[in-house]
Amino acid sequence: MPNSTSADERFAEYVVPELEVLYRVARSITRNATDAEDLVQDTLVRAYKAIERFDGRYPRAWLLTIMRNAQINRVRRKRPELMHDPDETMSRVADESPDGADAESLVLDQEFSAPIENALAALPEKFRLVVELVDLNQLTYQEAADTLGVPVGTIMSRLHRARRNIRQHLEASSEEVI
Amino acid sequence: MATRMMSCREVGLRLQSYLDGELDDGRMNAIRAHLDACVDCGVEASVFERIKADLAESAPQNDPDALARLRAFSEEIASNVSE
Repeated sequence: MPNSTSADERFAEYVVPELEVLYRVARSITRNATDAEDLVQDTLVRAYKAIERFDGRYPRAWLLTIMRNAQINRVRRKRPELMHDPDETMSRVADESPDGADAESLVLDQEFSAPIENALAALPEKFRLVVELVDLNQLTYQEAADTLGVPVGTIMSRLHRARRNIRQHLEASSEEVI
Repeated sequence: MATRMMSCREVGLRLQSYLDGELDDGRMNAIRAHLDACVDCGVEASVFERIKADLAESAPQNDPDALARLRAFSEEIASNVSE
């Protein structure tokens, strides 16, 4: 169906309102401010090129899917050996230290951060990522599934297991204090 | 028609989806009714509600400078794409 509005108008209507969410999600995926900004720019360019074909329904889900593909492409260029499993790729890419921080500063950060942040940091990467998408970035299960390219059931099982782990971590921490 | 009270096990299986608002209205209401009546499940729900709230609060703020740059990029998107 041809769209009567221009690409610029459709971009302003569907894409620009999602900028903050896109940047937050990109931070979670890349764990690096510079890479996150690059990833969002890449996503915006791809979205603009595809906006004429977008049907206007669920713009956030559409954009998150574009972002996932953009990230997979970025990894393919940088680390082709990781490309066997796109889901695994998203986790392994996010597993690298944020902003080049060294091990010592990561330990110091943990000592001075809140227990909930320590519990989150202690999760295996693919569980941490789902918690960040749903609990920190406030995505729905479907939006998180679109971002990671996995079924909604996988999001549910990872999220539920992650929260149980966080609870156990918090309970163990409070026992140590006592 | 009176609805059947959900069991603790059924509530436990759906508790996280309930807390995330990811269930249909019927199930949301059934679980809410169970949590009002069952102390053990109510406590369990409160624990995870608190964890969810603490996680949401721990979310880092977006860098306003980065957002400003991305907004500027968006406004010039047509010329950025044609480059």
